[in-house]
Amino acid sequence: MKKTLSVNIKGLNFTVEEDAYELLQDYLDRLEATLGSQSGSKDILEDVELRIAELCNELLSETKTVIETADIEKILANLGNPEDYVDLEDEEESENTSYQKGKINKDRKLFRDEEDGRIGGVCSGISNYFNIDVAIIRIIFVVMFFSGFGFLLYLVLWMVVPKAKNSIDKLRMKGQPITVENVRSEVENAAEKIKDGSKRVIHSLGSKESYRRRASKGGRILSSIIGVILICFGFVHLISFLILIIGGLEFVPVQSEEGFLSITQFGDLVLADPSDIFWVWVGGLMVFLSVILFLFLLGSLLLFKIKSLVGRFSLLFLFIIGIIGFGICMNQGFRFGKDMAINGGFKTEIGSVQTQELVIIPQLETLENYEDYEITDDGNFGFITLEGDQIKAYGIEIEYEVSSDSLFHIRQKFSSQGASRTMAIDKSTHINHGAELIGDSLLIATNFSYPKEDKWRAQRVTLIIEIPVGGRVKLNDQIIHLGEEDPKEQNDDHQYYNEEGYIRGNGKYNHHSHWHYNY
Amino acid sequence: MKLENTKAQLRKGILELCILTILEKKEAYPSEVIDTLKEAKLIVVEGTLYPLLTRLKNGELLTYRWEESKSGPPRKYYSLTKMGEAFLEELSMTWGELNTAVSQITKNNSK
Repeated sequence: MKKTLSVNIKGLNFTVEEDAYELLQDYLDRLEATLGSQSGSKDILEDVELRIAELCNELLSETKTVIETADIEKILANLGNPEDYVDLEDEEESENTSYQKGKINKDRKLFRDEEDGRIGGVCSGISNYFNIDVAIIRIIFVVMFFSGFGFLLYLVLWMVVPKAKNSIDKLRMKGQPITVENVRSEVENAAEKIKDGSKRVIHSLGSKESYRRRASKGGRILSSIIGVILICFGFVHLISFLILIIGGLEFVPVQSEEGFLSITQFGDLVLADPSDIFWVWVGGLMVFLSVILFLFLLGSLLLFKIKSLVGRFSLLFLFIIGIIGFGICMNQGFRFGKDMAINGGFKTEIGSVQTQELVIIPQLETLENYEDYEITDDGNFGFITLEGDQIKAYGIEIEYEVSSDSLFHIRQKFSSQGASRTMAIDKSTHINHGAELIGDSLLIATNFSYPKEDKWRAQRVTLIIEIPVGGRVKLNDQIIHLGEEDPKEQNDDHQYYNEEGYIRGNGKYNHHSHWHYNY
Repeated sequence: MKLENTKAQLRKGILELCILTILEKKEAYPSEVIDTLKEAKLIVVEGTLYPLLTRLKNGELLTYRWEESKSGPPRKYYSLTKMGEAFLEELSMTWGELNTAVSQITKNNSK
C-alpha cells in the first residue's frame, strides 16, 4: 500500500505516488538550482514541466491511473541530469542575459476570470493570481465599496485587466498557491539548502545566485503578504485623509454657532497668521500624500515583485518629501510653541468688604437661554466656544490668601501666553470677565471672553480672594476655611501651601489645598 | 584536454543546425523535436535540448506560439523567424563546406 498525492503539473492533474512526487520535486529543485543564473532558466523549467506533464499523460490509460515511482525514474533518466542542461555557450553570453531575463520572466499574469466571476471576474482573477480564496478578495472589495473607493478601483480593474480567453491564459493566471503546505516545504527546502548548499555553490556555475533566490522564495510569499498589508494601510490613510481634507468633517470639540469646527477653522483659531495656516497645509499635505504614495508604491513593488531602480528612487524621493513636510509642520509647531512660551498678565482690584462670610455666586449667563433644559454636562465639554468675533472660554480659577487686615480683598488676575511678556500682557488685557461685589456677595461669571484675533493662547482668569483671620467663604453651600497653614507659606522643603479652587462652566466648584513646589 | 568537452562542442553546433532544419520544414513542439533527434541518435538525454531551444528563441532565431492539446498539456509550437531562416542558410552552407573538407581529409588520410 502506498500513499498518493494529487499533483497539478502545468494545468493537468495527476495522481502520483508520494515517493514519485518527492523524486520529481527534488529533480526540479536541483534543476532550478543548477540553471540558476543561466539565461532563460524559467523558460527551460517551463518546457521541462510541460514535457513531464506530457509524458505522464501518455503513460496513463484506463487501467493505469497512478504515476508510480518507476515511471518518474524512467522519465527523469530520459531527461538527463541537471548538469546536462547547462548550456556551454552561456558563459560567453552571460553579459547580455540580464535584460533578456526581465523580458521573459513575466510568466504569471493578472487576468479577469469571467467564468468564476460575479460581475466582471476581477475578484476571481485576483484570487487566482495570488491563490487566495475568492471570498476574501470579495469581502475586501465589499468593504472598500463602502468607502467609495472599491467601486472606482473595480471599474478601473475591469477596464484595464484583460479577460482570460482560453486555457493558456488560465494557466498563466494561476500561480504558485500560497498554502500552509507550500510555505512549509519552502522553509524546509531553504533549510536543506543551507545544510548542503555550500558544496553546490562551489561546484556549479552561478548557483550562488540561485541558492539565494531559492532560499528567499518563502520570503517572497511573505513579502507579497506585507505588500497587501501596506496597500491596505495606504487605503486607510487615503480615506482618512480625504475625510479630513475634502469632507471638512467638523470634529474638533470647539463649539461655535454652527456647531463643531473643522480642522481649518480650528487652525484659524490657534495659528498666529494666515501664512502659518498656509504652511501647515503645505507641510501636512506633503506628509500625508507622501506617506500614502509611499505605502502604495512599496506595497505594489513587494506584491508584484517588481525590482525597479525608478521605483526605489521614487520611494527615496517620497521619503524626502515626507521629511520636508514633517519639518515644515515641526517648524509651525515651534512657532506656536514660541507663541505659548511666556506667561504674562495683570491684576485688578474688584473691591474689599468687611464680613464674616463672603458668598460667591457663580453666574451662568450663557446657559440662561437653556433654562427649559436640564444641564447635565459638567461644563467642561468643549473648552472654548466661538461667538462672532469673540472666543468664549469656561472655568474660573480661585486662589485664597491670608488678608493682611480684617477685610476681604478681592482681585481679578488675567493672564495669557505669548511670544514675549508684552505680547502676553497685551493679550491678557483683552480678556473680559464679569465679577461684581455687592454687599458681601461676589457675583462671578463662570466664563470669560477675548477677541478671536488674539487666538487661543491659554487665556485664564483667576480670582484672588484674601480672607481675614476667622473669615470664611461660602460657595454653592460649600464653606471654605483657611486651614492651619498660611497659604503662600514656605515650609522646610521649600514647598508652598496653596488653597485654591476652580469654578467650572456650569457653576460647580472644586476645592483643593496642597503643598507644591513653586517653579 | 578532455574528450567529453570536444565531443560536446562538436555535437552542439550540429545540434543547432539540426534543430533549425527540423523546424524549417514545419513548426513543432519540443516533444516532436526530441523524437526526431533521438531517432537520429543525436541526443541521449532530452535535457540538452531545452537550453538550446531557449537560447535560439532568445537569440530571436526561433519564436513560438501556444496551442491547446486535446489530450495533454498546452504545447509550445516553435518555428523559425526570418532571422532564423537566414541563419540556417548560412549554417547549412558552412556545414556543406565542412562536410566536404572533413571527408576529403579523412579520405586522404585513410589512403
